[in-house]
Amino acid sequence: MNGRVDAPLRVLVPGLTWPPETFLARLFRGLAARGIQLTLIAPELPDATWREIINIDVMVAPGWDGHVPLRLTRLGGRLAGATLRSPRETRHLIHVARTAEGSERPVEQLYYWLPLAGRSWDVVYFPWNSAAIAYRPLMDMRPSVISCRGAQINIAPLNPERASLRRGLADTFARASAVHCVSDAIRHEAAHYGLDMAKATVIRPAVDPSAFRPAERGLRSSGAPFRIITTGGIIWRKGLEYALLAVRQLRDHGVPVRFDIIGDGPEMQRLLYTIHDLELEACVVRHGRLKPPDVAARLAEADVFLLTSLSEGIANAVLEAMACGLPVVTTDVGGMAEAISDGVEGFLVPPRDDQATAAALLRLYEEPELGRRMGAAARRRIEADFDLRNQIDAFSALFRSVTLV
Amino acid sequence: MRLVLVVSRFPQLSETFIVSQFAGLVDAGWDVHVVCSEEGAWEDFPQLATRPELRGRVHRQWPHDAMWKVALLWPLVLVITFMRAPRATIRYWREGLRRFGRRVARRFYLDAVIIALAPDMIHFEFGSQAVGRTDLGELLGCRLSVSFRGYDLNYVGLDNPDYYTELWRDVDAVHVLGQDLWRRALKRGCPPDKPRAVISPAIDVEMFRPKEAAASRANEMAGTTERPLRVLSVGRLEWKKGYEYGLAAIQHLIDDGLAVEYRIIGGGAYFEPLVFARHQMGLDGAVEFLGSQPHVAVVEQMGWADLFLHPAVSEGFCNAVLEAQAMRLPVVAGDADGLPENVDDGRTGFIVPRRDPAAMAEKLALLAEDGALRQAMGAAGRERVERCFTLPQQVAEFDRFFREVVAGHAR
Repeated sequence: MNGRVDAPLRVLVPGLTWPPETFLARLFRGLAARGIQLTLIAPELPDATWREIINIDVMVAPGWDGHVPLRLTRLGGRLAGATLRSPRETRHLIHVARTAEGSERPVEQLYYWLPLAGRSWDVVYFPWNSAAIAYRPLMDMRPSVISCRGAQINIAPLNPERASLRRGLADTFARASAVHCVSDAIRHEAAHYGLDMAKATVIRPAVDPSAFRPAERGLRSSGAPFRIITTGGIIWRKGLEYALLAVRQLRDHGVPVRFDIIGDGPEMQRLLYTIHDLELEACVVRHGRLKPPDVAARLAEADVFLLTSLSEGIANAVLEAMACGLPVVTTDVGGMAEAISDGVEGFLVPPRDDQATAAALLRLYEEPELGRRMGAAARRRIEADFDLRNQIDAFSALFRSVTLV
Repeated sequence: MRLVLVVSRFPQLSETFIVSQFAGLVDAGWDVHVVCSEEGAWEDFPQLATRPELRGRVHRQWPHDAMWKVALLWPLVLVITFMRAPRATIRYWREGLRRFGRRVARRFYLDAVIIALAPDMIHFEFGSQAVGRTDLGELLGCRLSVSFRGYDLNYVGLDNPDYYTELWRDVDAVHVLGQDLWRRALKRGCPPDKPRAVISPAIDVEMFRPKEAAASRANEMAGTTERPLRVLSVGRLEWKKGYEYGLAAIQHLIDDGLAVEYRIIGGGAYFEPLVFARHQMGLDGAVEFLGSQPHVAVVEQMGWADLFLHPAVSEGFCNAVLEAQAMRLPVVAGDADGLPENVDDGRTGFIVPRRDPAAMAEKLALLAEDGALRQAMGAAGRERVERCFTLPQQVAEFDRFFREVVAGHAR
């Protein structure tokens, strides 16, 4: 295939939730701008902004839902289309669906695979491990790249009830041409589940330093509250309860504190209860989910970014805060130490340790100058190591490298 | 007097207390009926199987999951309801048309099963179930009461300060499981002069009877490699049970050189976070998740354990803690909600600040080295449960509560 190096690279991306997460959308736009042709599989018709991007083609393939006649009709249509395009691959897919170990729902699986049969692209990119497992047979025909991001490696495989996930990880790692890891920590963790480290490339998440910029900050006027901010899903992995406990300690210490929480998620009831139970109603402000420019505006008003996650790949939220020139207090989990050096861009504290978290916050409250220095260091670190442009270059090089094998 | 108990699902194991209350009140001479939206697993309740007359007192709501079913059944429901209770039906429609206009048609369908029973009194078993339905008192000319059991005051509608405003106005009396819940009800707007009863949960002490052998074994020092400290928790795997803090307490003990075996009985959606926490804290070898277990196995594990740990951050009252005390287990529990009323701090166990693993670990260590203390606390726990938390007592208190509510009506 050496002769095709200069031809545009065609990449298929199945297994997305729709719309894609912000960090994936950023990556796809960047790759498209570099001339890589992407085909994204979406379960529903995307909005106009997605349809207008040059080099991004969104293929709509509704999920296995709706009433039975509708599903069967769609299945029939997909079967016919796939057979016309490539009888050989269609036969192969049917064979895999019928025989593959651990496939409890062969018809449903086939339904998802068929629209992709007999089409041509150079690389299949699975943005999640779960996507690779769900679309496994696509790896038989073409080079493929899998992304290892976080919970699917750090948490889910520990669950004794998820033996099929562990098998799926080992199987897809063996078949993939290359595996992308968001941090070195994830790369080591994935090795427990069969990842050959030589196959793995670490490309850390990144931000656009021109979209997230430091605001003009004066010194906090005396009596103004110390403003802590966090963003992220309201989910157990983010360990928000420990953040609230730390904020409570600060308040008990006499610090006039305000804690802004940006995000939404299934644990809202827990969050509400804990805020009430710790009597923090007056100092916690919840914002729900905000758009990136609004997040940047909130970050500009804050003194410190706090993330008390129990597990992370590398948190994009932390990188965005760093780009905005904020000092960060976060837990030493997953790849966080690859973005924050304790005492330089902020503080790393042990997970589930509200006292250490509170102590770090208190220090930043008492030494505003230290916070400013750390914030400036954070911005420099982003510009040096976490620039979106470099990340996109690394991805496009990774995709090209697997087609050259 | 005809009393209608409103629940969402009946009977179900996690709400055994409603089953006991129902059977007890029937025995006390009340004409009790249960109205539920779903029927649960009758086979889980052998005590009901022997009394088929009770089953006839349980009524399911008309199906309302799909609009077409409602449309189809509506005329039939009207006729049946009218034939069963003509006066109540007429009153409902007269009052309902005045209040809601045409919307009464839909409400009627949802209320039809209750209307057909022409109750003198309706009791909602959870506060959140009563919201939006408390005009039934006026519509049917009957008395209304509500039980608050924990989550309905702790979480539901917390974002809306007026969530319970109508309820407080409309209901004649309120039942809460403990003093703490009464304080929470006041905080959420319940008028302080609202007639109320504080009736704590109760358990069948015969079903939780410790073996004598366990008592003799309890007297040894625990926490060594030959004789690890055996800690047990029972409860659904949910964030509000605070198991992460319990695991952290166990981690403290192990860091201090104690040998500990911690078993957790219960299933639920929080399993994966807890498996992760166990792994992250390096407790894979010390902590076992046994999943959800039948009564016999729970009793057996309580016989195995040296003590019972209940690290909850939120808990109405907690029957499992009562059961553990009935099984002569000393309890270490957080100070959430009703738990300080459940455990007599310093006598039947220890109450520690919730979300404080270090405090939990300190009490666990104390109990580990002092077998005599464990035994004394266990005995005190059994004695206290037999004295304060038995089913006959509870039924007698409910009997009095409902009598007073009805009498209030006469006044």
